[in-house]
Amino acid sequence: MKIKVLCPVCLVPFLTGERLENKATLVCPVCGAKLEVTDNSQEIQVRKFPQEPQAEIRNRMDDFARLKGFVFSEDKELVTEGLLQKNERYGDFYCPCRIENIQENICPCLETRMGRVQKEGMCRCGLFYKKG
Amino acid sequence: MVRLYTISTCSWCKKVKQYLEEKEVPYECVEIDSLPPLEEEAAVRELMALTGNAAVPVTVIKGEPIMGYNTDEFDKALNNED
Repeated sequence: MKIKVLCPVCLVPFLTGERLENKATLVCPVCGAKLEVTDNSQEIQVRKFPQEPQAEIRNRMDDFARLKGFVFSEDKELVTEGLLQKNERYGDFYCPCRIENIQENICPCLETRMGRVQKEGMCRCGLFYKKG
Repeated sequence: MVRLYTISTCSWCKKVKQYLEEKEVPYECVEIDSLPPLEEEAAVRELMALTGNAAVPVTVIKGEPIMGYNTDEFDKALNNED
């Protein structure tokens, strides 16, 4: 039986095929965020897996790139620095090239999740690139 | 005069600055997130009027906005400048 999980990072629900124990970890297939199960009694409840900001964004970027088959640009470190600055100032990993610090701009941003990399070859920040 | 819109967290903005400096092009930089609130709002309005997007970098050469880091477009616009 498929069980619905709501990702607290991208706010997109996804289905998982297995019953997960409390404290089990999983990766959101939409945005790559690492999550931890907090309640598995009926619907699975999750939260962001507790980790340092540096590890959180690096894991998320790596998992998202792996899930989507993207590669990183040579500017990965520069963009990561911008994301960490945004998190420090505004409380989340908002796109470092965008002025508005809103939910849809949390990395990987909505535009990226909706297929910009496949269409344009790269995300707006030049972090994720299409292979080849 | 070239006008460059940036925010302090943007890596491409740093690249545009570096490019303009290497080419010795004088420019005025508007670092939006370092401005006082009212000036920040005005700068965002200017940017939105130019590109329709709240994203940076935007480099304005001869009144024409160029979005992102596009050296071919910069060279073309700068070479056409009087």
